[in-house]
This record gives sequence, C-alpha cells and structure tokens, in this order.
Amino acid sequence: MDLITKESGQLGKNASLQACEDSVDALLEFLEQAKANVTDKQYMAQVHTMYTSQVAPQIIQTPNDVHKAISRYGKALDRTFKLNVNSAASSIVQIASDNDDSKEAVESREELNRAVAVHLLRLGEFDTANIFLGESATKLPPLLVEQFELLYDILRSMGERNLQPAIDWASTHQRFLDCRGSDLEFQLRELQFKMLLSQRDTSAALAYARTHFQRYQRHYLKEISQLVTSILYSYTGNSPYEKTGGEVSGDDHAVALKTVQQTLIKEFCTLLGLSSESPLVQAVSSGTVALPILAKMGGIMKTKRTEWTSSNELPVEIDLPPEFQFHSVFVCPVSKEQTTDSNPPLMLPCGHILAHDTLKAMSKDSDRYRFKCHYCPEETTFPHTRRVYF
Amino acid sequence: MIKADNALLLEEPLLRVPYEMLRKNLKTVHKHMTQESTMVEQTLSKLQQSTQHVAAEYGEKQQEEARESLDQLISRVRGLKRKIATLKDEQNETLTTTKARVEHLNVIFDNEKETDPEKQKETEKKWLRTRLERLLTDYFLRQGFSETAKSFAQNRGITSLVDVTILDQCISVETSLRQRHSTAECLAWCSENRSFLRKTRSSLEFEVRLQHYVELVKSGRVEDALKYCQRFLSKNADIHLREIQQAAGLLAFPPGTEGSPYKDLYACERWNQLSRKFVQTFADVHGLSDGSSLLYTLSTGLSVLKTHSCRNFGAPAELPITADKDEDMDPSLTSSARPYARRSENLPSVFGSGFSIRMYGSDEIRGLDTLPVIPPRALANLSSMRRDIAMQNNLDLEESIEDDNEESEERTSGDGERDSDGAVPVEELEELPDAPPELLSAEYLARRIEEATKENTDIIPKTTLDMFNHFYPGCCTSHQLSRADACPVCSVELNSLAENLPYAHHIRSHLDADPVVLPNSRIFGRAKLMEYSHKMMKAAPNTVVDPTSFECFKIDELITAYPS
Repeated sequence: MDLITKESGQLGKNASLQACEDSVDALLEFLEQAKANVTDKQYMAQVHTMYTSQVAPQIIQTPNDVHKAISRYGKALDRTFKLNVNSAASSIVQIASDNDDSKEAVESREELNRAVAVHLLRLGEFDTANIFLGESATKLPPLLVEQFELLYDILRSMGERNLQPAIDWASTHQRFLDCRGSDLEFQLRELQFKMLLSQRDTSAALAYARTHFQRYQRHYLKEISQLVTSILYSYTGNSPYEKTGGEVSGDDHAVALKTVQQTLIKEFCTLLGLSSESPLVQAVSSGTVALPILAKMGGIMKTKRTEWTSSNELPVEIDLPPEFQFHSVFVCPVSKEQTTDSNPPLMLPCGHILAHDTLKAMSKDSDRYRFKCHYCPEETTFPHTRRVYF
Repeated sequence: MIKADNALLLEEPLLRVPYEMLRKNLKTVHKHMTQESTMVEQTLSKLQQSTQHVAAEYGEKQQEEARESLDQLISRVRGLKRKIATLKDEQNETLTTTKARVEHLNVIFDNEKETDPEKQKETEKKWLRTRLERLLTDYFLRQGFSETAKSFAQNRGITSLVDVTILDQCISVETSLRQRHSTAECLAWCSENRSFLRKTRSSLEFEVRLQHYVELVKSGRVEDALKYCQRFLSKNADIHLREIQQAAGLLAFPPGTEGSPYKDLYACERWNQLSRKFVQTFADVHGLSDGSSLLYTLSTGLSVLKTHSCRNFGAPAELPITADKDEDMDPSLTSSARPYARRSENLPSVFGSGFSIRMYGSDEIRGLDTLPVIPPRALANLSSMRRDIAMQNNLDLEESIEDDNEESEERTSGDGERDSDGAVPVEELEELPDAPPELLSAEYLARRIEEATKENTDIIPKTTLDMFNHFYPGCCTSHQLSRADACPVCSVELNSLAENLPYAHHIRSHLDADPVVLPNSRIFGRAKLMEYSHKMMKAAPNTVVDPTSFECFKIDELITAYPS
C-alpha cells in the first residue's frame, strides 16, 4: 500500500493534462505568430525549422511524461494485486448452487433484494428504499416501512432532546418490554429526570420523579434513591452521585442519550422480529475478513494440486473476533469434529464432554465396555453418558 | 480484526478502474495530439519549402494561400485545445477519485497503528460500513437499479468511491443485448474499444455479429443474412472458420429445428450468453470485477458464520404454513411439518422455545395453532407455580390450570419426536422437583409468562413474518444470554440465502466461560446464567432460570461441565 500511496502522490503531480494543454497553447501561439508574420518571406522560410526546434519537442514530450507517471502507478498496482480473490468466493457460490437444485437463482436474488431493502430501512434511507422497491419490484409489508419511519421519528426527537415520543412508545409496549426484562422505560425516565435536573429546574424534576418513578420501585429502588438524592447536590459542585450521572451538565447527556437510543433500537427491532444490528453489515464484514484468507488458501491449494476435501465445510478456520461468534460451537477434543445433530455432544459422569461418535468408538460399540475418560482417571460405560445441549 | 494487507487484496477494482480511465484518457489525448502535430508539421514544412528558395516568388497570392492554410491549422489546433480541455477536466476528476480512493484505503492502514483499541474498533467498523455501502451501490448498478444507486451513493457520500457512470454504461449495453435483443449498442462499444479487443483476441464482436446474422436468418431475410455474412463474418475465417461454416449451414435448417448445433444457434439463450460475455469483456477493459462483489462477500461471510446450531427455515417455505388453514389444523401434520419440528429432535436449542412465538406470531399464525412453545416441563412448573399462588391468594385458578395441563398434554402428544427425545412426558413431570418455594419470584415469573402468552397481537405490528412468508419462532428469543439472536445466518433477512452455503470450519470450541449443566441438560456459562437469573428473579437468589424454557432450578442442581 505504501508503494501505491507514493505512486498515487506522484500521479497527482505528474499525470495532470495541464502540461499537454500548455504545449497545445504554445503551438497555437506559434501559429498565430506565424500568421501575423505571413507577409514576411524571411520568417516563412524558416517556419518549419522553428516549429521543429521550438514547439514540436514539447508536443511530443508532454504526453510521454504523463504516460510515464501513469504506468509507474500501474506497475505499483500490478505488484500489489496478484491474487484473483473472486475465485475463492465463486467456489463457495458454486457449492451453494451445487447444493441447490430445486431453487432458481432468481429466487435467491429476491431474497437478497428483500434483505437489502430492510437494510436500507435500517439505515433510515427511506427515499432510496422507495426508489429501490420500485426499481427492483421488491415487496415489503408497508407496515414494516411505517415502523421504521416511526423509529427514526422517535430517534430524531430524542436527538432534539425530546424524549416524549420515545417514552410514549415504551409505555405502549410496556408489557413487551417487561417480558424481556428490558430497562428501556426506566432508562428513558431516568434520562428525562436528569435532563430536568440539569436545567436547574429542581421542582419540576421532583414532580417528575413523584409522578413517574413509583412504577419502578420494585426493581430500581436503589437507582431511584440515588437519583432523587442527587437533587440535594444539584447546586454544589461535588456531588457524590457524580458517577451515576445525576449531576452532569447539559451536553453531557449526549452519551447517555446514545446509550438509550441503542437500547431503543434494539427493543424496537426485536419487536419487529429483527435483530438489532443489520445482519448484512455483519455478514459482509466477516466476508471481508474471510475472503482474502480463502483466496490465499485457494492459491496454495492450486500449487499443491489439492482440492477442498471437506464437502459442505470451508477448508480453513477463519478466526473471527468474539463479537462475530453467535453460537456456542463445540468441537470434540478427541475427534476434532464439530458436533451436530447426528453426532451430538455427550457428557460423561465426570463432567467431561465428547462427541457421540468418539464415545461409540471408545466404548467399542458396547454398552458394557468400561473405558477411561480421556482427561481424568474416571471410568464409565456408554449408557452412563448423557446428551447435553449447548 | 481485519488485516489491512488482506483487505487491500479485495480492493483491486477500486484502484484499477480509475487507473484504466487515466490510461484510456491519455491514449485519446496522445492520439489527438499526434494527429494534429503531424498535420501542422506537414503544412509548415510545405510552407517553408515554398518560400525557402531565394528565387521563389512570394507575392500576394502566395501570401493569401499561406494565410489560409495557417488559418486552417489554427482552427484545427483550437479544436484540439477544446478536446484536450474536456479531457483534462475528466482526467483531473479521475485523479481526484484516485486520491480519494487511496485515502479511503489508507484509513485501515493508518488504523493498524492506532493505539487505542476502542478507537481502532470504531474506525474499522465505520470503514467496513462504508465498504458495504460501496458494495451495495455496485450491486444496485449491476442489477440495473441505477436511480437507487445514484440516490444511495449521494446520500451516503460515497460518490467518489463507486463507478456509477461506467457501470451504468455497462448495464445499459447489457440490457440492450439481454432484453431488447439489439446488437447496435454493443457493436458501437466494440468499435470504440477495438484495439483492446484485438489485443486480447476477444471474440465478442464476432459473436455479436454472428448473432445478428442468426436473427436475420430467423426472420427469413436470407439475402440480407448472406450479405451480412460476407461483409462481417467471412473475414474472421482464420479463427472462426468452424462457426462460419455452421452459420452457413444454418441456412439449411429452419428455426425450430432439432438438429443440435443449429438448435443452439437459434436459441434465445444465446442472448444471455452474449450479455454475460459482454459484461466480462467490459469488466476486463475497465478493471472492474466481473461479478457482484456484494454477492461474493455476502456468501463467504455467511458461510464463515454458519454453524450447525444455526436455524434453517428455508424449508417451511414449501410447507403449507401460509396455505390452507384447515389443512394445517391437522395436528400430525403441523407438528411434524413445523419448521422447528426438525429442531425439536434436539429439543433444547436456544431457539425453538420461549413464548416469543406467541408474541410475534400474527393472527394468521396463531390461527394455525403452531405451538408447543413452552416445553412440557416448564408448563408443568408453571401450573404448579400457579397452584401455589392460587392457594396463597385463595383464588380459584383450578380451571385455568386444568386447561393448561390439557393443553400441554395435547401439545406433547402432538409432538411425538419431542417426547421420544429426552423431554419428559407431562405425567411424570408432576413428580419432579417443583418450582422454587419463593412465591414472590415464582409469582413474578408466572405473571411474566402468563402475560406473554396472553399478549395480544393488536399492538404488535404484523411482523416480517408476512414479509418472508416464513415462520420464524424465536426470532426474538427473549433473553440476552446468548448472542444467537444477532446471528446473521439466523436472521430473518438472510437465513434463506445461507441455506445452501457450506458450514464454517472450526477446530476449537467457542463456549461460554465456566459452563454448567442444568438438570434439563442444557449448558450455559455460569456467570451469564447467574446474571440472567438475577435479573429475572431478583427476589430468589438461589434460583436459576433457563432462559430458553423458563424452567426454574435450584442453584445446587447445577453440575459443572468440562467440555475441553
């Protein structure tokens, strides 16, 4: 990349066609002058010589200079990009289409278009989403669109420090939030209270606390008492409740506001049956990580003339950070295979866990054969193992 | 998480496209300048020769002539200047684009040196989002949704990172081939890029001409076809002799023939092949990637994330879930055909449970009575809890309890697989350890579950369920214990796309720290489980709640597991 950066810098300096334009200007000037001197026989007698000595070299040289700069940059590109990355991806797509006889490619495109449309809604790009729905002839339930518009309205008002729409939404869906054990409603009330307080409007804050905090008494008693007590310190600088955020000045609510907004988005999407982060972002991000690795792998395999042996599984482990691990994955420590429905994990009485097939092999396929745990000295038989679920 | 060097490998088209534009631009400039300068040179040399000899006459007439030819030259050079000025503007634009793109790529390189991991993550996230936006725009353009693409690129401020005009051009020719069966646009493009095509020995132009010929034959204009063949096809005899012979042979076969090479020549499918070939050639010329990178990256990403625990609800699309309701009421059918019937083979997955189904099912789906939602044991627990509460409060809940039991019995019997596989039948359940004695917490939980199951659908919008015509139980498993909800493969949007992709390869387990086994054989990380239980059952510190089934256990019922 350094090479590219350097060459592209050079490119910016040298590849402009300004020089070419200048040399054409010079040519034009020369011709104008010749025209002015057209009556002068002497001048005309050496006009070609003058041209070849004064103007022509420039005309020929300038495009060459530009060409040099561009081709140096091109070489930098060539040196950087040697892999054909898409070949790896296409083999995955290939597997997918091999596995897939019944469905037409078109159908999956429809699915993709729907996913994309929802992603646009998540971004709040309603205009674009509308154009997209039109152009791609994709259908989304209008209610879904409305809901996302509502969400963005609420978020916008929150940005303008107006929590009311959010609170309204939260109380409409109180039961839902309760069932999820969500803090959203309380978070909103808390923020509202803090905002009132930081406006030095103590009586309003107190009144607000009186009207609204009762409902949360059971679960948030500690938080409420801290909040209300922080009123005492609202005029002095050193509040012991600094940490709870009850005593921060106006603009610092931005952080708290953002957190609450995140919670709101999460609950809102959950209510719609969607995950809170766009799956498209996550999938494409992990694809971005994985593609180069797979491409390199493909290159190696090609030189060694091997092919993917594990059908229906990727050839290498792609290490993704924890935030991209969504399920527990159990790999049998003996056979190094992932457990599946047909080869489930079983727990020995000592608490160690192995895959079903491994245990079958260890027990010699017999119910009475006693075998030793692979980790500890304890011995057991196959019927004493127990299916577990991760 | 992303290595800048690796990420760079994916970005060849991003830099290659403006580079090819620069090159092409310069070539045009060079061509024009050479043309004009030779012209100037020739004329001037003629002028000089005519005046060189001392004896040569240089009177009014000659002067006039010289002036005239100079005037001509001047106007030509003015034209050149105009051309170059436009090309210069284009060039500058491309240079700006290049600069913006190099800067965009340098963001991740610089980010690797960032010392604050929080900040680093943030920048990376943002960069990846921008990348997705680029891929999306690219996808829009390739699908021919150019208005969407323009609006999107503008709104997201990524116009310098996407090749809108070029792709637009590509797609317009492609659609003219594929949809309108018109060769004119493509041939125009071919003549524009003839030198490239010749260099790479591309057969695109020949193929297009051949297709034109075939169309002439198809419409019965044999004479025109022959003329066309003579004029355009026969000169390619050195390379394409076989095809030309076939083309001639075509005259002997009427459209609709079954003779194999000729049938293929007549086939409409050839237009699609042509348009594919065109896109490929176009991509080569401009340094674009030849397929949609979004599709590639998305498939790879989904594959990497796909685990054996991921849901697969591709199947229910074929099942009569949205079809005739009456048919669906047949319990044997529904229970086995239900999407998570498959899951129920290994009952306690993190998904196939919870009351979420009831909550998020629209009326339609409720009408199908799609549940055994709450596992039998949980139900039993629940009813005994209620009974306790009832006794405590002297309330007559007997009826509802019985209802519940009946219901649960029905459900269990309706779902044979479930029974056979580890779940204990309801009758036995009564003997199992009952709900925790802490009434407050039990009441609390019971209330929650009751509310959840009673929760009406009126306030809940019709969900994405309609949208995808699938049934997605547990889209919103009601706990934050596992991150399975956030799994893109399991998401409503992408699930069906992931259906046929290969699984990720794992050689190490990824499990929650300090796993414990509940009496129902589910394993959770101890810390997470405790945190969840605490949240759900604040007043009962010695109780743990299974977040998937809402069963309650005493804390000493937990067994520590040692998975590895």
